[in-house]
Amino acid sequence: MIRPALMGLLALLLAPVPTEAGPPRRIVSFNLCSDQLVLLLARRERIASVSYLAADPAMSALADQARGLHLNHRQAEEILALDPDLVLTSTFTDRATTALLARLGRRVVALPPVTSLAETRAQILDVADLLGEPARGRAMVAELDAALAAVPPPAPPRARAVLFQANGWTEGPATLAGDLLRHAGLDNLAVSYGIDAYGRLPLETVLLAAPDLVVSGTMPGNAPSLGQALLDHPALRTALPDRRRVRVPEALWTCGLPQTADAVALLARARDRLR
Amino acid sequence: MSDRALGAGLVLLLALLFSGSLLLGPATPALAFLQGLLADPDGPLRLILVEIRLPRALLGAMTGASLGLAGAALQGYLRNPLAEPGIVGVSASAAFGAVLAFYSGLATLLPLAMPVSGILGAMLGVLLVQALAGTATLGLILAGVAVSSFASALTSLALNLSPNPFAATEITFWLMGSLADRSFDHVWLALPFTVTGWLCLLTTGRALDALSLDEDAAASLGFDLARLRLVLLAGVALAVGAATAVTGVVGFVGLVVPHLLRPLVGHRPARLLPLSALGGACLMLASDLLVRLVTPGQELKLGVVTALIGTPFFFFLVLRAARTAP
Repeated sequence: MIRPALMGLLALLLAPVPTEAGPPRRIVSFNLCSDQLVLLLARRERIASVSYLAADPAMSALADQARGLHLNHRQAEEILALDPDLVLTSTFTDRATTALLARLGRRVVALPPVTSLAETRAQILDVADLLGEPARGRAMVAELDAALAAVPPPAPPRARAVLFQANGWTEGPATLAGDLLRHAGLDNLAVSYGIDAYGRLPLETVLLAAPDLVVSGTMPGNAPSLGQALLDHPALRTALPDRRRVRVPEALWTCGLPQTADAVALLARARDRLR
Repeated sequence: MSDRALGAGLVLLLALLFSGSLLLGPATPALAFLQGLLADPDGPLRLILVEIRLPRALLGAMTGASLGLAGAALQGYLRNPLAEPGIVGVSASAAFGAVLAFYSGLATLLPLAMPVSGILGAMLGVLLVQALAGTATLGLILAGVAVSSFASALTSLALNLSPNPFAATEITFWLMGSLADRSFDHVWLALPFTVTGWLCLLTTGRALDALSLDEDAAASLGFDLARLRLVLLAGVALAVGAATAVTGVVGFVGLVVPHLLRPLVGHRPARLLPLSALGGACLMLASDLLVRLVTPGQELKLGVVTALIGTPFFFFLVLRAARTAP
């Protein structure tokens, strides 16, 4: 079984106190991705707090569910004041806060960021177990799989796409966005440049490679972004007509969720429009 | 060496560096690029040349000239060898102005807001430094540090209040200064202000010559010092503000270039100004070429390169100033 191994990876920062019997009843999350998993899987009355980002519709796919809940600003003090029996976060954010909470005897679980839909499924099931809601976890995974199955398969010839993000960053196959491209039946240009996870692709290189699709994220709420200005470069607009440039809402692929399947559907539609 | 020969040499160097900027890039090796361009003049290579490399080279030359010229003018006016837009805090205040216009969303509504706000920031910076400093070297550096820190604190505040959660990360890269992937939009945005700034600064030459004696001498020779101050500060603010708004903060060009050229022109500001503009453009383009050649693909930031070149030079000048101080 892979699940127990993943579980070990997941529970990086288990506090020394033994867990009480029964599911956690005062759950606090302070990372956008763990926030959304808690909103999906936990019973509402057991959620003590999620981070303010979870209520931002530009960043979060579940902003509506977050409304009305206590929203924290990722500070150890405010989290402690809520007296949580389980704190969820990511291995990437606020390591100092995470370590402090664990040292103060709270049960803290840091989730690693997912880099594929397979990892998304496993993480949903793991967190569901942790929250004492295994049936909800299985239902969410079934929802994800159903949405993926509804995406029409690609017809040959295969199209080549490149992920072109703020400041010219691209993502290879070993990332969630890269895995979404694969599920949408698109070849990832980053592979030809030896990029497995993250790397830079100069605009010139992208233009010369002439990909069929250029895929970028949308800046949350269209907030002004210097990094995104590159995606509107006149050379890119001239070389590629609008239908060959796709924007994926950031909320769909920042975290691995059932909603992430919508990003695959969006990419598949863009792929079919090429014909 | 006569000014004419020196100027001609710099123009030649500038032409060479400009051509290099057009030919070298991450897409293909220079020779293959030329061949491909001649074989298919309407292909993607033309787009790369016209829409990516040409604006980049033009912006490099423009901003380099602005920084060199502003450095020479500030050094002449403050009669201080360490005056330079970066060191006296003008670049940091221009950056604050530009950041404010950008992240408040004003620049999205009205693209001109970015250079204009950068220029206003630069102007405030110059005024503050001048009010704080006087002509003593130490006072100038302290005033520069104070103005720079204040401007960066305000920049951080603006970023904290931005609706874009990635603003702080983005701005870190922007503040390092870069010419990468700029477009003609940026050129047209900066050009009118830049040229106006140059014209202001170039007219101050003779007054700066007189001022190099001392203020009374300059006044008795019939130069209106209040007017000189106004024209010079406006020129510095226009040139540096517009440059910073499109390329971010590029330091030390205004320090190094006038110092290298000054001994060659007999320490006369009037002769130094136009040559410093040419020299600044050359140094900027050379640094930008270095950025592309040394770490292709993963580009080093231009401001980092100019700082690496300029900081040892700055140390040397500080040491020399300390040794000759009474």
